[in-house]
Amino acid sequence: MTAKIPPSSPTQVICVEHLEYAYNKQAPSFVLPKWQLEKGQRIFLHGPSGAGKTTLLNLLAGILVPQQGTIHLLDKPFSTCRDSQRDKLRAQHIGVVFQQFNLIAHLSVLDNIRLAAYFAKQGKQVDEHAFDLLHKLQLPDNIASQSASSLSIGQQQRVAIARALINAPELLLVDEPTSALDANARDAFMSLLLNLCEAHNTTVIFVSHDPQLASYFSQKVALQDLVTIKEPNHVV
Amino acid sequence: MLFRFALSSLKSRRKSVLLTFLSLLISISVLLSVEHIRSQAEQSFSRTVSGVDLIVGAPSGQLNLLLYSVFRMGSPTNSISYSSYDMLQNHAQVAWAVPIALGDAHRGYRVLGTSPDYFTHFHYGNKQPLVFSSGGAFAQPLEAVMGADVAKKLGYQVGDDIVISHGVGAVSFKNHDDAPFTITGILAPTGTPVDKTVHVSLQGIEAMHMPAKALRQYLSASSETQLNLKPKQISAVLVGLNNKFATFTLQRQLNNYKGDRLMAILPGVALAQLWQMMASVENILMAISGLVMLSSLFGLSTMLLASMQQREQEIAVLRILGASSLTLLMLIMVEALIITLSACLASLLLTFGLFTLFSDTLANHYGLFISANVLSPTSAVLLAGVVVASLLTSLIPAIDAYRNGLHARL
Repeated sequence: MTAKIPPSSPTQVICVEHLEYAYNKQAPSFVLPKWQLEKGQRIFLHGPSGAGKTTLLNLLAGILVPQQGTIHLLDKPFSTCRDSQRDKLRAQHIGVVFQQFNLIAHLSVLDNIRLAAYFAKQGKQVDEHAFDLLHKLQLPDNIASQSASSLSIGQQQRVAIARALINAPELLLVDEPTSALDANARDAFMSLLLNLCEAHNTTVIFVSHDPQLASYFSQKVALQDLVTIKEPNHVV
Repeated sequence: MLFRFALSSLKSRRKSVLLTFLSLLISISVLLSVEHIRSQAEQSFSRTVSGVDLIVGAPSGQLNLLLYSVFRMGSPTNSISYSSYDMLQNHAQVAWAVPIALGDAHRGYRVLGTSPDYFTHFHYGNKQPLVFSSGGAFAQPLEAVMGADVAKKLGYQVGDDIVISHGVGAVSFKNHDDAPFTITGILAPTGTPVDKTVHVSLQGIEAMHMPAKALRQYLSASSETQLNLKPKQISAVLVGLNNKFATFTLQRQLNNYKGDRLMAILPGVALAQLWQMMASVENILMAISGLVMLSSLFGLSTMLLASMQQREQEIAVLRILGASSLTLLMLIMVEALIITLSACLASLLLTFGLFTLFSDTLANHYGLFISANVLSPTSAVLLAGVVVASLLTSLIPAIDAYRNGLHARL
């Protein structure tokens, strides 16, 4: 199989085909026949717990590798390439914000952001860019030198956005980021996140089971419509 | 960035890191000290005497004779008669013979009765002669020459008077007050037991042991009579030969000498035997310090391994940021390396400090002249070995981090 090299910059950020994944042979497998995301799309992905939200995010981030099928990131093979290549692609093109504990507790805020740039091998003007992002996220300048563990959870989640966006990734994966925030903080967080992503034309997959957040998105996808869970074949 | 990350991670666990560091510091210091003392003792022993072909004394063991005649340790079990010295001096094969009489001390420093020839014939190190830093050899019975350390420690200068005590202890109940000695010279430092010795003439030793009346009589006699005073007995004789090939022949002759009971030893052979005895003790010490080292390396590995559980979150974050599993492995190795290297550096400083502090005690009590400079090719090899070993043992937690990295989830 030869890789197809597109002539211009790809508009397809992620392309999943015939994906199948199971944690082990006895576990039910997670099947996703086809899913494509264009540049700039912002998706609200919802579904009950156990539907495989986290599995999907792990697969899209390249932390898990499907047993069958392929994932292409920006038209490049992502699930079938070498581990080191996948780590590099993830560092450069994917940003992730988790529910909690996004930051390395013993590093300063600025070093947390620098770390992301370091793994993406983006040496230039990182600090400048980091301060710019912190500004846009309405965080004070002096927060940069504070240790991550001294921040409030709301502040930590905003720093997590700054870190996820420092390398200007094409794809942002967000996993229940507001579960630990109160309503006010949640609204502020959502509008800051979506404004920044709009400005950068970033594709966002926002996973949550909180229907109140759905209103921020025009595109909503129920995981059950996308994915089927197949019970394992018990071969005698 | 990896280095900064490792440093910051270590700082966040400073208590367990500090304890691990201390355990490494101690074990590396022990290892360095044992090795340093070993190499320095070997050097210090072999440089103690040079240019002396035979040491002749009363029959005992060759180590005993070597220890008291050269290292000023222990006491002569027996004496030889002065006529044996005369015999040696007149022997055809003998180039020079220097008598030695031991048994007295000055404020804890051994007193050596000898002839002025001692200062020309006794050599140390690589055939280096003794050199006077001030003054010169004694000429009169009640004159003394100080070793460099004695003069420095007791603050003596040429012209000062000293009193010698009977016996070799630091505290003596019998002082030879009637016969004070005048210092005529001070020797330059040699790094051998010579530095710790007070040298006087054989006549001086003989005179100070006289009863008060005889001593007064002796001291009022002419200087020619004074110098002709011959002791009956001496402790040993250092002998230099005209022809080295005659060494064994003469040794055999002396051991079978009918006129006196004599034993002749070759200093080189006796030193080698002494060294062999020390070597087995040192090998044991070396093995023990190696084991201590190993156990603190396991401590390092345990500390890092225990931290892996607290760090699952951290590892997941690093993986998401694009760190490869190999990077995580490296990160743990860098942490181990930081601790080990700083422990190596600190133990170099510590051992340097300790040897600077205790070099005098070692020299006084054990006759070991240890330099404080612990840097040597051997210690460099040892430290490199420690670093390599720490990298190997830290592979255990590092591989754990690698596996965690592979299985990390969002």
